[in-house]
Amino acid sequence: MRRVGVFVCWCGSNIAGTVDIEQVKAAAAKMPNVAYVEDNKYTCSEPGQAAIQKAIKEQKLDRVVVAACSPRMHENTFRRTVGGAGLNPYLLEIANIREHCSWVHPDKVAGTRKAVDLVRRAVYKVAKNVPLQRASIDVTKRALIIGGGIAGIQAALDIADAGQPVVVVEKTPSIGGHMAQLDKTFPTLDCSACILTPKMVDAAQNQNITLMTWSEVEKVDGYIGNFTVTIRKKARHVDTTKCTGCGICWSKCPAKVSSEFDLGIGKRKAIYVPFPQAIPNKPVIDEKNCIFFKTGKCKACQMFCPTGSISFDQKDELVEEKFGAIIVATGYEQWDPSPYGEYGYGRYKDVITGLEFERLVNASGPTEGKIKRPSDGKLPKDVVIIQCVGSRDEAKGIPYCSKTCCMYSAKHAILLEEKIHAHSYVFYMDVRTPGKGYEEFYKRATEEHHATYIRGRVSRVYQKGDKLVCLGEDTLLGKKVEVEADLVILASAMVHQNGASKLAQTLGISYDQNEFYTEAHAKLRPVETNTAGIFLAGACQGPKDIPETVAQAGAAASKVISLLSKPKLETEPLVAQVNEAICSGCLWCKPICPYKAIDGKVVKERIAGGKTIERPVAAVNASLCQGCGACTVACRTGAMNVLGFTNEHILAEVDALCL
Amino acid sequence: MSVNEKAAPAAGPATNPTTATPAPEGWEPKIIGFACNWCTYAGADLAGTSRIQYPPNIRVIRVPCSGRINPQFVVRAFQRGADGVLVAGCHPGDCHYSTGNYFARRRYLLAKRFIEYLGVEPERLQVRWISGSEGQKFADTVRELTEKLRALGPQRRLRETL
Amino acid sequence: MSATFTDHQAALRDEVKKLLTDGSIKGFIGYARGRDSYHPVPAIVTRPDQVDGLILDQFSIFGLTKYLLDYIFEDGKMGIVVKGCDALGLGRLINDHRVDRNKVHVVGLPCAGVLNGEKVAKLGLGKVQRVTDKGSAFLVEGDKGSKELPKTEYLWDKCLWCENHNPAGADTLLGSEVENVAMKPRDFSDITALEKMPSAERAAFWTRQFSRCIRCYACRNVCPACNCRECVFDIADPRWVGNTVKLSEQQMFHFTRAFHVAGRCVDCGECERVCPMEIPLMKLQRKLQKDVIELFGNPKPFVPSEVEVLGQFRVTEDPEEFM
Repeated sequence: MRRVGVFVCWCGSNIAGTVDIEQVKAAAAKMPNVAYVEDNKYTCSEPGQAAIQKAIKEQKLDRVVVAACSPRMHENTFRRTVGGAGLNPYLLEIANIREHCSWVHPDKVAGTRKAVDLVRRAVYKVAKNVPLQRASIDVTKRALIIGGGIAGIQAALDIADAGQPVVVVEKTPSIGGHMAQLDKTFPTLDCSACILTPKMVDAAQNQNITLMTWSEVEKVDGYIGNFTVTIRKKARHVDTTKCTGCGICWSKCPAKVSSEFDLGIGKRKAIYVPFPQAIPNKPVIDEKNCIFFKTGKCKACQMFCPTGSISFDQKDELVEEKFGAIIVATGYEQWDPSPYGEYGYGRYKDVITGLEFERLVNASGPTEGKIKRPSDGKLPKDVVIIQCVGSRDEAKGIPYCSKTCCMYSAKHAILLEEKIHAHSYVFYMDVRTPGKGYEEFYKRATEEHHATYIRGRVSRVYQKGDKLVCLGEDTLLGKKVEVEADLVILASAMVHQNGASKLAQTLGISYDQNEFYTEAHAKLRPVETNTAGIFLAGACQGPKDIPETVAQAGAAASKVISLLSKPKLETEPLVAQVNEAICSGCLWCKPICPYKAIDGKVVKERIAGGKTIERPVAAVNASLCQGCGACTVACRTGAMNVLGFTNEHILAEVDALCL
Repeated sequence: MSVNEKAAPAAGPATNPTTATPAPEGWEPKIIGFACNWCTYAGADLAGTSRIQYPPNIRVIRVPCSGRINPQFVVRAFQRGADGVLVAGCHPGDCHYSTGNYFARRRYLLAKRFIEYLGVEPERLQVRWISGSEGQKFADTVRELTEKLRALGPQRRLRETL
Repeated sequence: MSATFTDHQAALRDEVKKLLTDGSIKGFIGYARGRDSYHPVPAIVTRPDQVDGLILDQFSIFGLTKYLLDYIFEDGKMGIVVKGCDALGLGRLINDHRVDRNKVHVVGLPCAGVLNGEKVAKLGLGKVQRVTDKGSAFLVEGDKGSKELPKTEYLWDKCLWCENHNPAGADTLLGSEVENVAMKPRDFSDITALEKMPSAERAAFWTRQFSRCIRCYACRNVCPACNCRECVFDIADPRWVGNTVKLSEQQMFHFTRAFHVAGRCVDCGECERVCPMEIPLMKLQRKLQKDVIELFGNPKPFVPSEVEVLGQFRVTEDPEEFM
């Protein structure tokens, strides 16, 4: 026999006005296991809570039912109340006789009858409650950030600033990401490098930050607070402890290849740093293009290196590190606009993408900031900018809006006019400027910098002499437009980083149909993933501009800081639990779990005859499980249960309500 | 009989369990609702805070997620005497646990058809996506279900008899 | 004209003898003669001298795979003979992690259809001497007469739409593979007819069926998808389904069992075949199969796959009727 105390709340007249409290009390007193019944004007008030605690002690109650407002309102309040009286906080159930009853059913007779049923449900359920304990797990006080673009750098700086160690893994030779490639940034037109490079330097100098460039994440095991990550340090062939970054090696290297950083507009050597402000400012040897690796002869760099840093036999190295939290900040790629054959990208040299234009206009770029068009080096006078190339086009490109193109196209128009008095014609579908100072910036492009905005798509670009003729339609005027341009810039879409889905699988996080990583909740948990302890920052989650990326990086960092600053992680006890004795080990529960909290394990046991056998069972990682219970339905035996919402509970509730 | 039915060895009970015997005086349908904590339960709370009235025939059981609602609970409710059952959760895409309602959708696409196949009137089991902001939809759903059940009379098909 | 099962009997015995003698298996699950020549029964042999008791004939319908569960904790391999349909059952046990494929030696029996012993026994042909495959019919010669039995009339229903005549992944195949075509398309017209009935009539139909149930659990015991370590119907707390013999509990039992097998049924039809009360249990499973095919675009829900039908979803393609 349990000793259940039922506390019926008046909530002033909110409940007592339409529910006959005396009748509810009388009915409750007759329910099984009920040892004590009391009513209070306001149970949630201090005297109300004190009354519960007093009754628990004096009446030796071992379970409590509070018939009051919604559990979404005061369940935690009353758990604390019950806990304060020495009872386990989970030996409590709430009967919602306000929101679900007195407020919606003015008929006192029917409402009272329903209130009695709701109390009976809670009484039957609470009888099946068992004491639950919050478990605590250790936390490795160290964060991993995957991706060394502005998102990764910002998050690293924020976490390091809070005094916690952080490792940034970057797959290219330098941190900096796409932001390092940009010239000016909207809407203020401050130079990208001027605001980024100090942060890069900060990151490099911060005692709490370890940069692992030219490295990639190979494998991730473990769970929140306790991840074990295998990182591949790709062979650099340069001893970074000896190298001073003097640059003699790359000046002597005879192999010239097109520069990834400059998007093929400029050249680099086979031993190279991607850009002058690179961090670390230590080169890597690109094995594919190095003459020594191709022919076995050369070693010019090694001969000239004053510090003896070059080593041709360095191999990739796998290191295993432990982390408490992970931020994924792998960014985006610019979409290759080749599917739009009509724009002639790849066919006409002077049709370039927005990002290529950034390199062209960048003072540290291959043209030293002179906007020389690729075909003949002439300065363009008339430039056509085509927006939504790939974006918002389900047929050829991607369905979503890339969000940044409207603004960077306006920026390009401004820069062209400012620097070389070139006139821009911007073909757009819609101009979207939702951001602080964005609309004003766009206005500046049109009003002060005289960019011509034409609503419509370009249907064809073709060469005529040294001009590119752009045929289009002005859909506002309903007439055909023909612009003879010297340069065409395609505002190409932002798409997922190469290999985004593969990394997601390594991490055990989910991604959407566009291979952007999925946040745990679109509105309320925008920087978390469904895998506890793994967070998102920047464009790997969806197209974002720099301010948004930095904001999200800061948010992700603060989540990580709060996670790592806890001495131990407390886990909510209302999670799935396996009854191993009856579990068949079929593991059909496993694919249901959105948090990858279920895995198989092998138990050993002695069977009749004294033999020890091994058999598979399901195992729930309580620190990953969020307690949704979707797995339980896949379990035919009922070996999988959710504490607090067990099969026993729900069957008892059904029975109680159907009495 | 149009169906290739195996002959019953002996004449089974010839009574048709759903033949409308008149509902007892003052009979009111009993509805068991299963509501996910994050959307539908919150929606029902909102109906309360907004004082949107609906028939007092439903009693709600709170579960974490529509993915938690085992179809066996539904049949159990019918067996124990429920006249109607409402299974409700977050709209697709809104699940607090991201995917629970997609599994629930598959399960109930099958279970609803199957329960009907066993001879329960389709109206008696309603599955609905009701969000935390849809207090009105919750109230409307309960009202509609109650009215349908009043017209159908007591559920006897799966009900436990002595 | 395929070889009949009987044609493989000698080869089977040789194979089992060899496997038992060289110690590669510790026992073999096959068939032995039953009460007459139309009803072979499951038999387990563990010694070479017992092997001559094993038989194979065209009436070997019994799916044997569930017996493997008795040996999962024992050392060594078990051998078993499987037809195409049984191989799906074995696949179910393996996918459910109940049977370790490495601990089974599978002897595959290509099958052109199994004769319904119940029906043939009634023809009064006496003790069967020989069965010959005549293409569209089996010639059954007994000591009291012989008859050519058209396959469409005398095979088990499931054999007619069978698309798995050759057991996949066998370690040893008896004879060679047979032509793998269904004799007729899978037919759900009986299910559709039930669906079209008014609720009350359908309720009456199922009441007549379920009220016969004696809860003997033969359906569960033979079903390769009912392979839980501990069956929910045997668990006292919580008691999902009462075990008194009354209609509401039988209904609850059959709903629960059907739904536990939903999307996992391999369509072997054994539940219905073994039911002593002749409850048309496959009308439950085939309804679920039909809906899975229609709703989730899964053309073969009875072939065990990597992920269960109910263990997956499609965000946009799954039908939406709960708005």
